[in-house]
Amino acid sequence: METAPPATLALPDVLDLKATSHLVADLLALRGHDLELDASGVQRLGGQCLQVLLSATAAWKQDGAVLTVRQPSDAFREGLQLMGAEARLIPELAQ
Amino acid sequence: MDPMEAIKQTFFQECEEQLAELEQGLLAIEGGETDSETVNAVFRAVHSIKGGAGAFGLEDLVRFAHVFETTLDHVRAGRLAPEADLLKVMLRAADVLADLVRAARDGGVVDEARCEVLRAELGAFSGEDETGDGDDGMGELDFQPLSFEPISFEPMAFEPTAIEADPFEPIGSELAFAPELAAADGRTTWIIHFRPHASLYAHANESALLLRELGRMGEVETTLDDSTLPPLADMEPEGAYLAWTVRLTTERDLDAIRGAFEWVEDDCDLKIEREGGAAEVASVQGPDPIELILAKALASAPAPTMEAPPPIPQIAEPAPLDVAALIRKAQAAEEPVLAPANAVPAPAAAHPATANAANATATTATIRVDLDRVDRLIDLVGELVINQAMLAQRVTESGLGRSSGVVTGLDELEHLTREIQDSVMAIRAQPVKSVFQRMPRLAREVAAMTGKSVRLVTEGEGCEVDKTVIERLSDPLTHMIRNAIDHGLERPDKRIAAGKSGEGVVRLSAAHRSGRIVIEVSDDGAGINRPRVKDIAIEKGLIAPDAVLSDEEIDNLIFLPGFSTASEVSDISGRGVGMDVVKRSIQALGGRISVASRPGLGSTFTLSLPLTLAVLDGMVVSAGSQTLVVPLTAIIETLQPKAAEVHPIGEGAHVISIRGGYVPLIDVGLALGYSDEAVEPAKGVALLIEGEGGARAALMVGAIQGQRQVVIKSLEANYRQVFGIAAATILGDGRVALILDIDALVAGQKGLESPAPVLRTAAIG
Amino acid sequence: MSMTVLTVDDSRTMRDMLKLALSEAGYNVIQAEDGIHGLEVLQGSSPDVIITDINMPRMDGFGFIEGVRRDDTYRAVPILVLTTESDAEKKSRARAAGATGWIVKPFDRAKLVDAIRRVAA
Repeated sequence: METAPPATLALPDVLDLKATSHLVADLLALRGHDLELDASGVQRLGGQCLQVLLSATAAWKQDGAVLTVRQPSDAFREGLQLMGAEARLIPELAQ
Repeated sequence: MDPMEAIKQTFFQECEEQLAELEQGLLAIEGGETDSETVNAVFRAVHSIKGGAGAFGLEDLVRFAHVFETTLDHVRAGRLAPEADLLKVMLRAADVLADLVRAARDGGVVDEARCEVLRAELGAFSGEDETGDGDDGMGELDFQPLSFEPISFEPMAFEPTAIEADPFEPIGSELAFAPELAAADGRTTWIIHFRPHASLYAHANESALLLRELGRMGEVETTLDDSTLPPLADMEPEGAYLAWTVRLTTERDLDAIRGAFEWVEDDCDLKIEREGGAAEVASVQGPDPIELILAKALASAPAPTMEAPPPIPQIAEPAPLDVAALIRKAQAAEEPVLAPANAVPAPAAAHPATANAANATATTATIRVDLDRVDRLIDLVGELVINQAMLAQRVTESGLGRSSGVVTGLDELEHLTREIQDSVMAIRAQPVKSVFQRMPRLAREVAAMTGKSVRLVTEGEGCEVDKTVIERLSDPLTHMIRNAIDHGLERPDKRIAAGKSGEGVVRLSAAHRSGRIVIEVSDDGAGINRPRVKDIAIEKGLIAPDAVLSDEEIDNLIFLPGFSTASEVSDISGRGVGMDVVKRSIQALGGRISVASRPGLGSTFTLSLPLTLAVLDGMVVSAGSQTLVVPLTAIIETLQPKAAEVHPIGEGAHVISIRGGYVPLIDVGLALGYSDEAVEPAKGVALLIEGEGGARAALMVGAIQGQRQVVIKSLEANYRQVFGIAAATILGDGRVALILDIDALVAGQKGLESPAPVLRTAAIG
Repeated sequence: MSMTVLTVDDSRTMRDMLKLALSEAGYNVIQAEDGIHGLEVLQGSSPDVIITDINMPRMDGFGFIEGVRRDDTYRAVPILVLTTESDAEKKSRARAAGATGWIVKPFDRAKLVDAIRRVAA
């Protein structure tokens, strides 16, 4: 489908209050490119980072680019599940 | 020991410290230091005792401390002025609190009427009725040692806005009365609407964790509402844009569900309703205007979960069931051990550093160490000192020049060793404060019982001395303070008649002087009544009726065993303890006591004590083939006796005449069985020593080798008890030297001693 | 990997009780004796949860909480206030300073551990 390889952003270990500002800035800098979010190292996902990621999904969709979450860690998936957001960020994992 | 029992002991220790702080603080306030620092410290002391007492279910203590604390809180807040009357009551209350602490610790009861009276007096100051059972809620709370405060509604926190904004019945505690529409299995399904504010996250709360809590209560279906999510570029990173609706089926009640949100009530919009029944709603609304919008939306849509489809239609199957399963799994894994290890692990990299760095910082202030370990260290350092001395002696024997590198190095080693020894001894050292601070109360009590007015002034509380010395100092000091007030000070009317202030002053001071600690107890009373003391001594047969004694000798009569008399004993000082006992306990610590008195001006008792019991200044002597150490504190003087001064008195016993008096002469070598023949007086040396109760004797030894500080090694611990020997030490040449037990030696000869000559020789000392 | 809890309390009794309860529950415990000491201990450590008393010498719990929240490194660490004060005023002051939650003394162990679990990720 794509010709250029997508950019990759490794998500920080702890996606809490303090991680939001950086996360927004990092994502904004990558807009317009297909993006893979590497969630393999995530140990904690909070509500504020979730809203950033959700907003980013909408933005990428609007841009017509592809945003995918790769290798979600257990903690990351648990966070999504707790907050009822798994299907939105990782549709292929929702059965 | 049961760890809780150990903590309880710590609590009682800490109580003692806090009681001391309390008393000192109150005395400081009485003295005009009414700054907030002092007042706060006093408040904290009582507060802290109450807190710990609550944890151990010590109800009497809690109840009393609570009333005390309330009064102190008024003082702290400036509503009550710390005036003399109030301080008198608070000082007495501090005494009662101390008694309650001790009763809780040692068993026993405190006079309830006394507590009651003080509670009433304190209550009168704080304007609260504290006497009855009508303790307030806070007090009651503290009486639940094992239970926890039930998570309570605080209607004040949310009701006003709820009434305004919510058309539903505002609910508070009355919801508890609503009939439960429970399902057949005892479970109810609740619909929880939760919209966090940014402040929730700022307080380090977390929506994900709150949702996890709900998941722990039962089965949940969680629906995310991101309808107010702004575009990424417009987003306030630390804002809050998401909301959740949770359908929770649980056997837990509304209070439990609310409990999960207890800490975030002001930081979110929360609405809890029973599924299908809009009437029973718990709603919490923070000040955020969004909340109003939400409330209105909810008002027009009483059952939002039924109407609200998942905002994004492509969700084929809702996540909720997975969540429930996941949570059950998590619970199963977590509960048996209560171990947080199974929770989402924190960043791995951070941890090793955490532990080390934290340990390093946490120990900077103080550490608590088993006394055994310290004593072991002291022991080892003692060995080191001995070893160093032996090494030095070998080097000397090997004939190396004084200026050789080895000798200089050894000098440095010696210096270092002494320094290590001092530092290690310092670990056991404690300020005398712990003993001194018990005295003000004692002074108050004795003053009250004798009808005298006393001001106790303490100085030098920071002086440090070995822990054991401190522990054994308490009794003698107690007795001396009692004595000073009871016998030393005059009654107020007499004082005034004598042109003094009605209030007597007793001064307790400590100071370091040439490697010893000197403690003085002085009073500004009438001084020792010498004619009376002399009469008593004659009456008791302690001195001859015609004895001519100097003032100093008369003063010293009070230290004689048997001096303390019934006619002289009052309620306070009596108790069968005389100054002879005080003197004996001080001597047992290697100390000395003396008295100086000036008629009409008062008396001063001076104690001089070694700073430690681990080393001793001794005179090294030889007796027979043995090297012995005589404690320097016991030696009054050394004599070169002439044959003519020694008189046999039968049974192989001798006395020696010293300036007109006679004292028993003990040949140490013979007495201890180290030689078969007595030392010829002219060839030996006699040491005039003073033992227990002022008994004197002369010890005959072969020669004096010198004076030195020795490290005391227990003979009993390493061998067994030996008559006439108190302990042992190891000298520089590696030989073991025994330290003489003067008291035992003298007691072995006691029958030979008569009181009058002893007194004569007192003039020499 | 166990979680680390920093407790700040001037009472040795309370520190011992916290230490016992928390270490038995599997937490790594570090301790400080007042607010200032707490801020010192905090530097160079990274507790997952902080538990603090309110009434303390040198720096009280309110000052300590404000100090923690002002430090960017630690502003997201949950802070539970441990105090015998059950009145609303103390709680709201603690909250205003940035506290996450509170535990009322005397506490039982289960409740203490539960409170930590509620705020610790």
